[in-house]
Amino acid sequence: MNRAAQAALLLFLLLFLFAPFLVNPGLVFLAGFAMIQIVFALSWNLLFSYAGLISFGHAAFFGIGAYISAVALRDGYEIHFVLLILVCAAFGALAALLVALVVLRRASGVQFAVLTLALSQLIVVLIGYSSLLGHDEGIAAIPRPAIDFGLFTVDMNQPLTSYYFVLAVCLLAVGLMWLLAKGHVGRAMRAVRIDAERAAFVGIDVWRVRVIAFTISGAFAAVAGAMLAPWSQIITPDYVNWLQSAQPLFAALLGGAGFFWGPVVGVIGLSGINYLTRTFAGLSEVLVGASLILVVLVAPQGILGALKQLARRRGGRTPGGHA
Amino acid sequence: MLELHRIDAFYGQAHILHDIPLKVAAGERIAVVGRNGAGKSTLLKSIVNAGPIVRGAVSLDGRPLGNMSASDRVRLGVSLVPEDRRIFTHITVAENILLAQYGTERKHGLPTMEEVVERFPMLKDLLGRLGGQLSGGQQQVLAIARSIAAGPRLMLLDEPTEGLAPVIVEDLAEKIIEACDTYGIALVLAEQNLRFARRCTSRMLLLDSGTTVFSGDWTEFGKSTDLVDRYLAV
Repeated sequence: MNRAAQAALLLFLLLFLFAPFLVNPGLVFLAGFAMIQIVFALSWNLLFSYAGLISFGHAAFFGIGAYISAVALRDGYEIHFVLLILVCAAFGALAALLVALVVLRRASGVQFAVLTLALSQLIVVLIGYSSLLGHDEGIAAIPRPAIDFGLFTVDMNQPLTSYYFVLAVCLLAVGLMWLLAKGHVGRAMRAVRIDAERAAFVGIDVWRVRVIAFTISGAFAAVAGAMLAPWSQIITPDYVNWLQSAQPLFAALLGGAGFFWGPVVGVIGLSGINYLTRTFAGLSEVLVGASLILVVLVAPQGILGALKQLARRRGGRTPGGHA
Repeated sequence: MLELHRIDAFYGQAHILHDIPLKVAAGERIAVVGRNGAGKSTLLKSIVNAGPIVRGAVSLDGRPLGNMSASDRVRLGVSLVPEDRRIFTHITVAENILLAQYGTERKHGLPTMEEVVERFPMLKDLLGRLGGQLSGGQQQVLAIARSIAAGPRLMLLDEPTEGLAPVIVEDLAEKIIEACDTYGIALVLAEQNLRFARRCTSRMLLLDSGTTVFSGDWTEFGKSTDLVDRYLAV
């Protein structure tokens, strides 16, 4: 990663750290929402930029986490919230594993992407029939938990505490994904993406690596969903819909598909556009569309790709940022 | 350790290899020579199940490999360095080497990165460079280093000298022999460069149009003067 990109990421981290002291509560809420979307987008990117698989229905796993978390909090289950996040991750991983075991045997390209889309839309339909999940209206007024850590309690009803808890969980999730991406598993995923046959020649079981990638990705998407329930306090089928599945793709395109940190830049960029155009009905979507067209035409490798090229032209450090 | 019993190999309708027998003992080094299209690469690919449809039995340590996938055979200790090197161009040299160690069942006693670099000093200053930024010779050395890093028991090298400068070829032979002796690796080397093949191995198999026309040691081969003219001359 070049210095400009490193500086930008450090700036984003500082902004997230000090947001509650710098901006109004409305923006703090959006910052928390953006952090959750970053985890979701990175989980998708782990699959796309590392394992070379495209999921058009990744919101299914996000939704699994969101709804399990929402139901457990709404119905007052006696479960520690940290444990609940892990349960959501386990269910997200299990669902992804089942899909991968069935689908990846036969498809890994466009068919795989379309099948994941069909799965997420099926879940949207099923939610519509479920009174437990609040039908099409979803689950509203989700209570925020007070999380007992023995020595101290994190009460998510306190806005500041709630924000920093979300930030801590998101940083932890991002850190874990980064470690995975840079470790043996990530390396094997990249090998499979670059050339599956070549990967087999060095003893990598391509199918197994793809299944592992999809399972891990599903788990992290569910963690993001689990965090959204207490943060936004409302979960609707929109969070499982195809448009939610498209968010990580937009973020990766804007920030830089192929870069681990690309979706982070992308989510922040998209959040900025959404915020600045919030008062103009319909303008936000137009601007998001225009930005993506612009990026695809001018900087096909996204913002980080453009920064990398710029650094290369100026003779700065270039390698290392690419997935 | 490796035994091929009456191997026939096909690409679609094309019958490439006809009734090939081959036995390789542990630590033994064998060359497979022949003109372009003789079936040398197909033979190596047949051993790891990497492309051709194979009829006949391939067994490793007496265990029939049957339909076992290429990746599973590699994990058992059979390592193929194909003709086009097949290094990963978008990741670094160090990552290429580490990848090989991920793809092996053997987790202990594998050569460390330092050992690999010590054996192939050319790679020392290139570890952080992307695979695609290496020259042909460097890529070949990396491909062999990567193979050795996986701690194989049997290495299959497909035309490693192709496109390399003579000085690099000389050095490569040394490195291959050294590594095979140090780690007890058996070698099947498909090669057109007879001098190189002879230097690296003790025995050879001569193929022509997918059939075996000679099998024996290099001394015997040297005595049959017509073999080179008939099957290897351009």
